[in-house]
Amino acid sequence: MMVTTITGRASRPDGFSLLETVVALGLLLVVIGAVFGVLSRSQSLLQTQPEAAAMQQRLRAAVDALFRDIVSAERVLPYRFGGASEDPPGTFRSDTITVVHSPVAGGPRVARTYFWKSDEQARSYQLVQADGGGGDEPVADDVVGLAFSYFGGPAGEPCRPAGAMPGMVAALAPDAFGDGPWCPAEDGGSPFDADLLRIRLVQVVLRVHAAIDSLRGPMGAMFRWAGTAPSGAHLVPDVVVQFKVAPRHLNLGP
Amino acid sequence: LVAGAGNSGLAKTLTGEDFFKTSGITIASIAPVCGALVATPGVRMDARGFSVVETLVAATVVTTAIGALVQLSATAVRTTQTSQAVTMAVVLGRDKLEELRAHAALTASPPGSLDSDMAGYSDFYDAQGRPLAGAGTPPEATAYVRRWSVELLQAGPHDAVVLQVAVTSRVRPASTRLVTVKAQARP
Repeated sequence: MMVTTITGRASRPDGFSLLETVVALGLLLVVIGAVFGVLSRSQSLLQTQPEAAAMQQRLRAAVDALFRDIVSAERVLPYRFGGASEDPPGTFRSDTITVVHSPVAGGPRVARTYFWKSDEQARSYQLVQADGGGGDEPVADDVVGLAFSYFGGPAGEPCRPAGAMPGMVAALAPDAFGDGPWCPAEDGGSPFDADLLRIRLVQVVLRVHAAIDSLRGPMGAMFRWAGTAPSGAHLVPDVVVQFKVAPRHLNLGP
Repeated sequence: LVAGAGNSGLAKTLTGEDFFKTSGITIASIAPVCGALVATPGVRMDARGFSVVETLVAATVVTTAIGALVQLSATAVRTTQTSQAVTMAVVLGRDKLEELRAHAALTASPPGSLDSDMAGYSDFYDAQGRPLAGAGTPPEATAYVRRWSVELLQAGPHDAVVLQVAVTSRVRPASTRLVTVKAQARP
């Protein structure tokens, strides 16, 4: 039976046929299925992408700060120098470097220390800088690994100033930096090991992890610290960067 | 009517008698516009609902739009990875440039050292910037190829050298080329 509604159009008051309903339901299912499939994937993408980008930003900030200061160093010390929490001369910390340089040519020397600060309780891992007697200032968060190693030439006359980079540089053993002979600091500070003057290249290994726990999986090669991600979830693995810096002042030619 | 049915979600209400009762609008007063119920200008409301073809078209449009969004995220992923590769390439290039500057007496490199992997003028790195062994031939795990050249300046060969470093990613479309001039003392 056809009735005419107020719109003047024909409509069937007896509703849809079974076939129409089945087709409609089928279409609905297909569309909803596709939408949900896409949504669940894009949801994890939307979570991982900003974090991956943020990690890269942190890494770049850390690499730039370290490179800039190490390349202008007139002396590098593998321990904290200056300020109240100064390490005694001869200390070696693989995650700490102090660069001593003059911001103005011939002007007073300043020391800036970079070190890795980890707090397991608070799950806070940072690359921190400290200027002389000043306080600690974080440079980058969620830095889960920092290691410095040093390369240089053969031992020469102790306490002689740096020269040009030799043809071959070899890794310098940490023990060499704590056994003397000792050189006096120009500005009356603590003396330093003569072998520190052999350094021509500083190698830095930096590791950054995802700040969001649910984007990290179990501890292993991909993750320095375990996260809470369920298996099969989208993960953001730690990023490791290794680079070398040849400080200009330590490589001044004849 | 216009204010109360500003969106299609209320389209159903329009067909019910309740609406007309409660709104105080008589059927006669709106009959002229009811050939196609016009709620807001330009929006046509059909009391019959949608046909299969309309539904299909709508579904296709929605799917296309979502597909475009998915493409967008895929592009974002690629861009992030490429930008990471560019960063790594610049870090490696900068390292070498500083190292070249640090050597006292540099001799000119053979021509074309930036265009092919020559032993002594190229090295190879994995994705994390760790050096790989291999003189002149890139090993399997190579992610970055770094080549460099040393040219004596044309004007005064003993005064300065031009240093160039080129780093190319093998897995991403990322590369960098850094150039500097270094003064050199006369021998």
